[in-house]
Amino acid sequence: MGLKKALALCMFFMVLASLAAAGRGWTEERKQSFPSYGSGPVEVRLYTDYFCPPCRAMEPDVEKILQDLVKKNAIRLLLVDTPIHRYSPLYSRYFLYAIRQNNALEHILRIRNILIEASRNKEMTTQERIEALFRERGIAYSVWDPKPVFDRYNALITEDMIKATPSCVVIRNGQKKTFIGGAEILNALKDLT
Amino acid sequence: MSKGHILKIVNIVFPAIGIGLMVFYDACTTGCSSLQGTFMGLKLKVIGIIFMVFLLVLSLPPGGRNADFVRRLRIIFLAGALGGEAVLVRFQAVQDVYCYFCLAFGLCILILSVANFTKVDRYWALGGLLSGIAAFAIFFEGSVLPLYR
Repeated sequence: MGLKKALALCMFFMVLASLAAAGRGWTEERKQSFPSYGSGPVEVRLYTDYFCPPCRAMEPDVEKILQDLVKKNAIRLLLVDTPIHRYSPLYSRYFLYAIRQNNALEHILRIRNILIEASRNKEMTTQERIEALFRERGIAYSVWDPKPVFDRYNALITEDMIKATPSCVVIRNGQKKTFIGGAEILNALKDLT
Repeated sequence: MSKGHILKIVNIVFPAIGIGLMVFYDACTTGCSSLQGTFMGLKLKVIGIIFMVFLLVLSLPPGGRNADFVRRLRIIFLAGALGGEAVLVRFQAVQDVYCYFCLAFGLCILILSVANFTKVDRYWALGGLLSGIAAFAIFFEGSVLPLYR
């Protein structure tokens, strides 16, 4: 084999290896920025809105069950912020900014609670105020473009025909069931434990 | 109490109820629906409040020489709103998502329309009804799925 051929082959493999590494990094980065937890056989998609009173009401009870199910690896949980209220996209954006720094379930549930609490304050409607709140509570965040995640949210909302919050879609053995309202969702999740 | 007095009360109470319904429209108890709509770019909630305030204003001044004109104007607007409500209720039925505040608002309009209807103004009422249906069929934009834009 000529020196030129060997050099070209070497270069080709180097390019291939770097592309593969970059691809893996991108996938991991995406995974890191999407609120998905666990790898269990049952997929649970929880659709909530920070400004929706029934969502707020069910959050403490739902959190405990979800943490338990994820710990047991019984479910793959997808948390989908649903933009029903005019300020929901702003809150969702900051939630995603924060999970970019730390996407552990316990941590993101804390962020959800902080944002739920903030949504009760009628003045908490600007990015400056949410940033100040995050600083005050010691929540690290990094600004990035969440459009790919919003596109994924839209695809899920459209696929599951979500028209109200809170809604929960449970996919088990290829069968999909939708539950609406706090009581229904809690019962459905309890059935999975 | 005379029929005229009852009608006056109806023309004050039901627009007030309608305004109240639109003000408390955002309140949700078991679930928060994403059902939304606009008419010529304006939120239906705003249109509803403006409409009911307009009806209240019509019922406040004493009739006098303009009584016939005011009555006819009220009938035309109520018939138009009834036509609009027909389009809105159809939209909810097609989407299988119901907004109870909006349906109650529609009921207020129906009661006001029945109470104010007079045979003399039937052609004006029919014109208003058809105009309302046409206007909402053209300018109403409804959305059911809450999506990021």
